[in-house]
Amino acid sequence: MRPEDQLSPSVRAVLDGLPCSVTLPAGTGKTELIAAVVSEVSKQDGTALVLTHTHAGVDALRRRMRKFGVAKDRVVVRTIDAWCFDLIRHFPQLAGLEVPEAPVWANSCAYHQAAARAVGTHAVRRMLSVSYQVVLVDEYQDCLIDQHNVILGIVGAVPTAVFGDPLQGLFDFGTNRPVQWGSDVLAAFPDMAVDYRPWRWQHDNSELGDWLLSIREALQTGQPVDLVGAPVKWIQADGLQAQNSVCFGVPIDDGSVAALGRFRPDCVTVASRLQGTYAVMEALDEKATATFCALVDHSGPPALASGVVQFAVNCATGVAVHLPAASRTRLASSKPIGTRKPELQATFDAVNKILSSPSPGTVRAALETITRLPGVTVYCREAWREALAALQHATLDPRLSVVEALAKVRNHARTTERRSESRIVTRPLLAKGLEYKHVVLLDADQYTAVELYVALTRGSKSVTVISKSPQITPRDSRR
Amino acid sequence: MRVRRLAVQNFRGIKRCDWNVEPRLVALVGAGDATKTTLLDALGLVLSPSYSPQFTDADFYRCNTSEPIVIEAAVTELPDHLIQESQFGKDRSGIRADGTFEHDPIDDTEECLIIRLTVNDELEPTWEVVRPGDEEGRPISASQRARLGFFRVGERVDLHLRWARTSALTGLTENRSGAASIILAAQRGAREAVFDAAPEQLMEAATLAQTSARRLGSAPFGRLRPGLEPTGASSAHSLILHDEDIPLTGFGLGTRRLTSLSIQDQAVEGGSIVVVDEIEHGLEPHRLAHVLHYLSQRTSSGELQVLLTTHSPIAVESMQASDLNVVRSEAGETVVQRVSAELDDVQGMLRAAPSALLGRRILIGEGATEVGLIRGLLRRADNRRRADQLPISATLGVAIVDGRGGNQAVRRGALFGELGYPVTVLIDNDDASIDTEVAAAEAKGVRVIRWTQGRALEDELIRCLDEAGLHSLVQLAAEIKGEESVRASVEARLDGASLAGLDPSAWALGATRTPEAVRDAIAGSAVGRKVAGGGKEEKKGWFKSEDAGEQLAALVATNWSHLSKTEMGSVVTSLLAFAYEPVATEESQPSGGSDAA
Repeated sequence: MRPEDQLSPSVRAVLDGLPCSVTLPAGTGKTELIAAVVSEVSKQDGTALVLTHTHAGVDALRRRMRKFGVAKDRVVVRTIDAWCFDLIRHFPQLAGLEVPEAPVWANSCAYHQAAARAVGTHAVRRMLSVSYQVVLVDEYQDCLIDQHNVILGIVGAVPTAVFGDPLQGLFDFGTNRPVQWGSDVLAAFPDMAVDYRPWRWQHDNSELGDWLLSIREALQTGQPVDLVGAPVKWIQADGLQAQNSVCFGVPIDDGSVAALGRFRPDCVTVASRLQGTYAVMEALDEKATATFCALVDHSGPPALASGVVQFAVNCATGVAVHLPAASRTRLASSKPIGTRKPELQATFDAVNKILSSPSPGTVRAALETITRLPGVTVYCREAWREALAALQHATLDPRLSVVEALAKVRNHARTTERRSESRIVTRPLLAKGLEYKHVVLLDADQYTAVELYVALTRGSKSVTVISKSPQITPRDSRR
Repeated sequence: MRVRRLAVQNFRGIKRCDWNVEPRLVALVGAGDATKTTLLDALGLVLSPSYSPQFTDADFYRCNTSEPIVIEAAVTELPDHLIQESQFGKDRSGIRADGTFEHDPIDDTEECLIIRLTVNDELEPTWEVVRPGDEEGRPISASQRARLGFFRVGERVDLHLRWARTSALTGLTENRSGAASIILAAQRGAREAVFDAAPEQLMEAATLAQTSARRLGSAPFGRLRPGLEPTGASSAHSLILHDEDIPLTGFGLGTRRLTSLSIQDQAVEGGSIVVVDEIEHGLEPHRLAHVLHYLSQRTSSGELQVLLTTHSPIAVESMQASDLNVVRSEAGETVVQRVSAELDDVQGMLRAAPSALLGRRILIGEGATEVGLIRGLLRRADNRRRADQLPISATLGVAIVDGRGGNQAVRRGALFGELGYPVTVLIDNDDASIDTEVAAAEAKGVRVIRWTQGRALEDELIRCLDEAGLHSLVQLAAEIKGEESVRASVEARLDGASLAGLDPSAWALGATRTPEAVRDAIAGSAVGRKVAGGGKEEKKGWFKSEDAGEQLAALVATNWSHLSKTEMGSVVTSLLAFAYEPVATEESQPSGGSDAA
């Protein structure tokens, strides 16, 4: 049976119940249901606005719309942030905020508040009501209160449904608090119960799919999850050894693999030990790259030259063999480094060039030669590519600082699909919404209930859990 | 949809114009070359769905292509389609009641789209939606502009009687049935029908052509037969409205224009913007009045905006003062000024002299006598000028208006002055109570000509004429009023002296009065002033009609050699100087008082 055959009662329920909220667990066809609702609306000559949080989410939704044959002019899929920024950029007076041409996402709270003001005006409401028959918001558990207020403004103009799973509400906690499903969401969007099945696992491991549904209640009530008898592979935690052997042990030709840590340093450490066979996935606003770009903009030649080598050491295996700590110290005191090995000569020259003529161009050249050294493999591939792209931009357009160039690169990256790596070290926060064949939970004891649920539901074929005991008690999410 | 503001730069006769379009029914009046039609053309170009109108160097102000043509129209009451987020929902601005813009459609403003057409020296037009303060606009396509519901009556009038692409009739069909394919199906049916019903003669010709073509070795045709050209059919010009068997193209121009207008009125949901150049074209007066009444009703119900030009006094007379907008152009600066609705007075003035608004300069006489005098003076001067091949008063757009009393005349003068017309008012100087009004009018640039202190027209003339001239005047009065009546009224002012004949010199001798006393008495009678000390009010003066005024003009002409040196003469000279004052662009010689003779 295909998912879409079962959808039509759910589609009707959603459309007849607007405004409403739909809770669907991971892998049970949330994207599919949204696309089916849009498809139904478009058949009635209607147009839908679909909002979500991440660009990956936007891509997935757009692909699903194509699969359902929804005409391009019948649906608009955007991230909430991009949609809000576009709106306030056009209506500074209605929004009560002047914004620059390119968004500065550090100010996103102000953007959301401004968008909520704009959405409350007659002019914007009229636009919304003549543009859309329905507004659908995905991953609603990830909404901040300010974003929630924008959506509440939209509800007045266009019937709206929100979709999400409170058990996947993961956050970078800032000053802004996320919505509480029980209070904030249900107050504005009454729950609409729909049937669901664990579609993600139906071909590869349907037993796993059923088990993942069965543990939700325990996770929601803070109970331990028992892996004994579960369709997952449990490995006794044994420091680095267990992690290494599990990760190396996953067959290479059996689909994508995600190894899940909790914080970036854990991931980088693991990736470095895995010799570059796994790449590190980065957050869209990863600080390490930004710090490096600022270093290029502001440091004197000695600090820059040693900083460049340090960045390479942090991102790749095998660099320190050729450029040990002593060489970095030498560079930091403004002395060129030398070598007798011909295969290193080009790299050393390139690094020394930073001392004599520091620029984004010479930094970029040095980094590139470092990757050609024998035995060097970059594992922080996303950070590395991002840094090289920013240096390239700043070289081509000297008006840009490298930090500004990085902002451009990142704004571009937000709207394009991530390059997919077949083996990746990542974190539940970053992996949410993404699917792999196999997942390895490197240190499951560290996770909160939500992180644990997200991590366990990423793999469609196999889940391997490394922990101290087969009974895992989630950490208290309030820490 | 509704146009709220139109700004034009460097387009044809307009170097610059910024027009705050207030009402829904806008009649543009003004002298020829006031750039009225250019304004409508500009509006048509910026709003019309035409894909690529042809521009030439002549479309640039003074053919100077170094400055681009820029036409901006702010349109309010936007259709839902255009304010969708995927269309121009986020490109709306706000416009205040006074026509000033806000970047966003904030409170207290009406939401609008500002559409800008730019034509650069490569004659390449671009259309964009722009917003105040933003550097870049967003392109707006022809099909999006079609949503603005702009139609021009008169331009390709028959197009809208056909089911053609972009025609209003097609729009009407699609609105109702939602199917362009219906039109195509009808056209295909028509082709079939012609194939089946081709008469024998046509078939014979086709067969001959086939034989001949075969002989020449052309393509081996199967069966040549007459049929409707399919490209013609798909471009849809072959389907046209018929009345019974008669295609509407066979009807008179006026009927076609009206039918076209009525179709366009219905064609666009949310109301159209209809532009009509010379509304009176092809219409007899009663149909013209009817059309204006209909348009006035449609526009006041808020369903339509009509911008029209007219040169017809009947049209002016049939409309409300506030429908009228005076267009003036000076050195490329075009100004459109709405006739104020608050000034009730204007209404009467329009009815009295509808053609005044169509003129270039206005002469207002206090009453019928002055109007007649001025008309007579101009007629004589025109005759002279015609002989000298100089432009006559009609060519120069001189309008003569009856002020209906000194007070009224001055106030009307001030109103015309406010609308930007050069105005001269000729009034008596025997009523000090209007001095304040006079000063106010003069402050607005109105020239007020008054006779010597205390005198009316007749006073001045009678004091300035020599004896022979005075005699002629009394004879003229006798012709108008009758000898007895003339003598009686003078006798009444000479303490009942008994007069004979019509010679004032003889009257002085016979009645042993000084010639001055006799002149005073004649003047009193001519003006119709109350007899001093007498109880009986004189019914009327001698020359209180336009005819009489014209006859006085003839009298002035025959006595010009004497009068030219008098106050009367200098007033006449100033009147003529005003009437024939050379227009800035013309090189005619200034014409002086000598024209009067």
